[in-house]
Amino acid sequence: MAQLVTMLGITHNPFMPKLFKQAQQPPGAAKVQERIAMMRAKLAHHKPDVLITIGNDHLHQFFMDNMPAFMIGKMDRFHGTFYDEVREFGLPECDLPGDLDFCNRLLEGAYERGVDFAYSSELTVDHSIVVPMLFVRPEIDIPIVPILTNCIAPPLPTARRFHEVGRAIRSVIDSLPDGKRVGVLVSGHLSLEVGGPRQFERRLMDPDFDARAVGWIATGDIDAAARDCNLEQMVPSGNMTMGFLNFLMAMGVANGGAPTHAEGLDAGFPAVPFFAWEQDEEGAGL
Amino acid sequence: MSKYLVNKFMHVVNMNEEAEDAYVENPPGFVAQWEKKERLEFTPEERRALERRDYGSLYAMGAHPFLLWSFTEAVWRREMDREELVKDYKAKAAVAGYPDFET
Repeated sequence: MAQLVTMLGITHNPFMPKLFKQAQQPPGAAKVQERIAMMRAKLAHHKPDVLITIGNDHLHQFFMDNMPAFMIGKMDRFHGTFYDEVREFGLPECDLPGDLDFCNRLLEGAYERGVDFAYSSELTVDHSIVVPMLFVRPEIDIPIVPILTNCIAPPLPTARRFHEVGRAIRSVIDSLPDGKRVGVLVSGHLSLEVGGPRQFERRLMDPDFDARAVGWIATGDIDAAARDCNLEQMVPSGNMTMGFLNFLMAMGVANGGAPTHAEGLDAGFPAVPFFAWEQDEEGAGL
Repeated sequence: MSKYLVNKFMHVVNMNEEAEDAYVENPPGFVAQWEKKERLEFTPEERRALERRDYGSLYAMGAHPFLLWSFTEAVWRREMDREELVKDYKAKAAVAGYPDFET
């Protein structure tokens, strides 16, 4: 049986990789890097054979001429990233190995469970996959199965649907006959604004939302999350706060398992999310 | 507004260095040439805003904010200091508040 050995939830702030290489760093940067190192160590400790990477495309591969709600990449090698992200963020272009067989089995298993993913055989992933990978596995040597979501172009799938899709992913993982050790790497954010009047402010955008959101993850409270995570309520917390929805998919993958770490770090940036779910030494807990 | 076409225009310019260069060099010329190949049309107001690289108007019309910022950065970076651009963009966005950017 395949087994889920760890799931990590982390920021995909595209400015951070370049920022962390600069000589002069803002005061909170060291704290963020310390947490990233902790997440990197967790991933290394659990030795996954394959990594399901969940993030939201930022109007790159997804566009309104043909907008999927959720998509699986189906390739043995994925390209990261796009011209504009090299230009604006200084992100490196990279190649990420894919596990095509796992991509196919996850897609088919999801269909059987009522989740109709779109799929792509020519997928380029943007900072929602590249940045977390640079943070927790800079070697980029674990084959990935990328899942992209629409958190950015409303109308969006509901919060509850993100959770259900996560549960379906988990159910497929648990049913696979081989002995693969599966890791999940989810990226997103807490309250955040981009392209609005409050963008690029070095502070928590909405500390109240951040605290509630971390609480939902810590306690697995999907009902409270589903009640508050709709466009009307999230935009006032920051116009791109919907990127939090990816973590509700993570909650679904955890399937009731409690996180070993749940935090919205206040380090002089919009809150930096760090979530982890891990098997214990006996292989229990996830 | 034909929000879709405005977002599509920004998407193309933002993600393609050649389009970015051509647009910055001659905004009205590039807009006219690009629109001619599309089935949909800009409204006069949208066309004018794109011809002027007028991010404040595009924001107020409900252009997608994430895309709009990236596009704005692309097409003004050679002429404006980033800090000034961010400041001016935020001031203009603040006037409009939070227009509906449903796509």
